[in-house]
Amino acid sequence: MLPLRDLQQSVRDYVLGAQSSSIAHSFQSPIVPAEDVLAIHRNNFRASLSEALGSIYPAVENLVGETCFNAIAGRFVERHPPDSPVLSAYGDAFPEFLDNQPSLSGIPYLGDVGRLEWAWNEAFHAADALALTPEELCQAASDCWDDHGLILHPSVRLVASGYPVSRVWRMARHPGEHPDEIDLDNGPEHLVIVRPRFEVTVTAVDPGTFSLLRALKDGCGFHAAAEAALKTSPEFSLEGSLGSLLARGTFASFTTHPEDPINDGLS
Amino acid sequence: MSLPSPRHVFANGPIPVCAGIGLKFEHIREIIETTPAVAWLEVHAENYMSAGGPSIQALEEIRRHYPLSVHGVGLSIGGAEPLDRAHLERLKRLVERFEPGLVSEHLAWCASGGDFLNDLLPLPYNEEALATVIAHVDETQDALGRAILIENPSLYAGVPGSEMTEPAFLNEVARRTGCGLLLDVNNVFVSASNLGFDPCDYLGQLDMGPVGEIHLAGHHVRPFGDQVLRIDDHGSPVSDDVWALFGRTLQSTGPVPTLIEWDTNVPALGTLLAEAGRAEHALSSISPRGGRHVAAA
Repeated sequence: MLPLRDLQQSVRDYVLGAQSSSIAHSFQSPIVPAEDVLAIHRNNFRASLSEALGSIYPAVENLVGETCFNAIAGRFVERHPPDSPVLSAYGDAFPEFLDNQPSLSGIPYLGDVGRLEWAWNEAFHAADALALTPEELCQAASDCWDDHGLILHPSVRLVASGYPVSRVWRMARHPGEHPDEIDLDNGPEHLVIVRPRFEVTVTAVDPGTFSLLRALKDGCGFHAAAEAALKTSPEFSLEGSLGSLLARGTFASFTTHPEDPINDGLS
Repeated sequence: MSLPSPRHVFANGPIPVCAGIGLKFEHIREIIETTPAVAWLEVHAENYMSAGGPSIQALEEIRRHYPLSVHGVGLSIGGAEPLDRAHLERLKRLVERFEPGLVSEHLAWCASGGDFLNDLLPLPYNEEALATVIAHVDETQDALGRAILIENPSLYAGVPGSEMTEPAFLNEVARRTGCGLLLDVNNVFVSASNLGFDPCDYLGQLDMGPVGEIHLAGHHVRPFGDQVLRIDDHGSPVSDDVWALFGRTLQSTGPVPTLIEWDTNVPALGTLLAEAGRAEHALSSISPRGGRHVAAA
């Protein structure tokens, strides 16, 4: 009799797409041919995880069509099966997988649309925190602006693209909305994705502001981040940038400490 | 300070011996806005394991009004490899956060070699698998500090290496770990049809004492030659055959908290509530069983 671990490894290999397996013939059914039993589980694996990817990447699915999406997603799930049952955290490698599909080379912005959708998904599931208000910032002593004083909201994600990717994304999420008006040469875009409370927002910012946030996200102090912004864009205005970032809930309240994440994979 | 937490006003206490429904994302807004008359709700644990976000916030709001059961689909209790400690920790935090009246998992495996297969795969019923399941149920109950319920699976075929019946296997798991059983009546019917045994024999062999919850769901019927294969897709109303088997089950178990599951082709909330109403009618027509084991926390 096959040890349990060996039996399960054989079934796993078959479900993940192994071409032939003696295990497939050892399941006993009075109704279904033996080799069809595990095929049910294999199909379920591909279909259910492709559906999970479709729920995270609806714009990508709309851009390529359901049939094409399911074929690509099916290949992806076999090559990159989830390593955790928390499927809201599954599929971060999908945009890069899209980049490398020769059949999709005619849609060069597709990977960037995927990166935007993954950022949206991460922002949606990120830890909750109150957003910093302009009043709170004004009341704080200026030394709060030191190297640890201004922290990004835990939901902030950043996406840069050479294409007008947020316009493509909006069009793909709402099919029928003037797809012909998008000029693909009308890039690049620097996008900030944030969910201060319930709603995820996607906003294009100037390259200087994007550099500021990128530096903060990489762990730089505020002064170093401001210098990075000025280096990217000499006309960068800290005052102008901060006002709109605060209005969008991009920073976490000084009194907020994000809750311990239940899922360490989505922080 | 985190966002204001309503946990101090949770509708606590055990899951009532009434009919509940599975909570689907599609119905969350309507349930918050209308607080329909349903006795309790059940969620899949893995859908609420993110760090935060609107889904978690909505469940905290719903939890203020309804008793909650947490049903795990990803722990791989029957996996030959060690339990995923990170996942067990996530489950523990979820249980601490939402204080559910019942916590359940499956007699199945779903991970191997670090890969999660997103399916409830069948086990061979033999001594090695029994020892594995018992160790993993013990570990889970120790980590959570409470008893869990283990659910019987739906099967398409007999698994190579099986040496005992499923009821005998489940009876032994419950006896040796102190866990309760989640008796999925639809799964009994589906497995009996697919494997060619009598579902009433199955019910006769199963110890009903540990049964702390019943699941009811619809299944798909796929023609195979002149026979049919039944697939447990939770995508349609409970079939008449399963309602009949539910009635027979209640004769043995007495009234037990009963859940309507509907996970694919999710219908309007009213359809689920109507199914729950039918289950409630059956429950209320059964008199309590003397000395019934209660697995609820």
